[in-house]
Amino acid sequence: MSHVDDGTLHAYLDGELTPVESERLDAHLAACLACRARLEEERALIERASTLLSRAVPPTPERAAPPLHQLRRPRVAWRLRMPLAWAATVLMAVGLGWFLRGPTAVLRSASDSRNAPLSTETSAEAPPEALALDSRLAPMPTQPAEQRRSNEAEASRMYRADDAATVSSPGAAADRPPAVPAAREEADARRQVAKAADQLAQGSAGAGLRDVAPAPVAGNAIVVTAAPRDAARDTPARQRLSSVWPVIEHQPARDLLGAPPAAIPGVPIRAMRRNPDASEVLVEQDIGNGVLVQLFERRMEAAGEVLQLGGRIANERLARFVGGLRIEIAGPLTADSLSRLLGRVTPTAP
Amino acid sequence: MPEDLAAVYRSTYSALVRFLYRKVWDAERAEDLAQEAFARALVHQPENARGWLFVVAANMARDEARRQARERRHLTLLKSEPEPVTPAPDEALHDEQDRARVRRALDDLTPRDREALLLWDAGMSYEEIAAQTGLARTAVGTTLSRARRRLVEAYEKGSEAEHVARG
Repeated sequence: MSHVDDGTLHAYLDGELTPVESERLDAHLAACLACRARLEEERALIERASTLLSRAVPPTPERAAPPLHQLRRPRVAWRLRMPLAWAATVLMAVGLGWFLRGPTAVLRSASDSRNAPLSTETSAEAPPEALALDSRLAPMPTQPAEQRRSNEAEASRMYRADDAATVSSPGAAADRPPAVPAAREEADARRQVAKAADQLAQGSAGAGLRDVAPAPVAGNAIVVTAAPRDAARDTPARQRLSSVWPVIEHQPARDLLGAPPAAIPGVPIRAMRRNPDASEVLVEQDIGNGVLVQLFERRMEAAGEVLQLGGRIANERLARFVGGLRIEIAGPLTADSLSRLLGRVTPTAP
Repeated sequence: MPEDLAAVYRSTYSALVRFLYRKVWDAERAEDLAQEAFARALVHQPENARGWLFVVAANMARDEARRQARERRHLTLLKSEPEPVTPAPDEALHDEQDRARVRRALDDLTPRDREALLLWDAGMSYEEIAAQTGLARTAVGTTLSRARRRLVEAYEKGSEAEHVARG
């Protein structure tokens, strides 16, 4: 056998020869002094090169590697979350806009939404995106300051929750720095009211509700419903109009429904109203600080028509039958809270 | 079935960081790139994760080097003053000089020799190095022997030159 080349020696020392090649080389080395000497030289070279490379490492110890699952998933999730956050922000901003508007605005936009019917409860005369963007990027003189802050409160809450402060326009934030604390307070106040409402829903009637600080709702505001409505008869525009439905007394309401109107016990009734074609009664109850919960009530027979028309009872989570009446609930609370409040609804005393 | 990426992450992350460091010569950047490579592996779920990771890492390092070169050119146009030298303890200074010397020696290698050497040092087999560099399996030993010899020679030449320069 002829002498071996450097490559084979390195492969041998690297343990990368096949067993057959290894055996053959071993046999040669046993007989060849020169190659044994070279083998030792190459071994020293490999060691030396390896030592040099070991010095080419970062000067500071490596930072702990983050868990593998944290590497991508947040980013992937973020791609989904971003549009969702935007959608939610826009919905909330527009919804709050409605929430704080007076009846005049309601009437105007109701006619607008006839021209361009929208399927959500939060339609507005401006496209939702435009309204939300306007309210955050530029001061709108026609918009009440509170409303702007509310929008910001919701927007900033979304961003804080998602760690995406960088996404919000820095310019807008710089323009109105004091708005942020105010917005936070307001958001906190809203959460408090919601919490109190939950307590109420769970049975501790009225507890602490009056103590809850700043009322988020203006005097004659209307309420954005969280409930899906019958498409056939309760268009969003129609429901918003409910705040200008004529106020009626208990007895006419009872006559209209053929049964005592139902309500959440222990919660003051602010008003009872009826719809223009006198088929539905609206009971508005003030759960504290002007936060209104609406109960839309109609005879079960009449409700049956609607069900046949709409055929969507399965989707009507926030509706139930009480004392021969079909009751739907709406209010600026979580669906969960509304659902619990709905569970407490009982016929009022005659 | 793809390898368990979590196991590859545990076994290979440090090697990948080192591999990248010897290409970009920035510790944090190397870690970022290594994490990015694993993040991509999470999405792609490659069959041979380890090999795939080093290919991706090598490509990212190449892009990174190009970007750095562009930035350096840009910077030299902007500033003519030398960077202030931060005083370092003797030992740290020595390490730093040594690292710089190894770096220059590595830079002296041909790209293919350097790649083979760094891959071997990162724990790749001849088989894997061949697959990654396009070398024949039988040529890997020869390439490595040449790379090692040149690295040591270039390093020692560099040290001598420094000693001569210092007088």
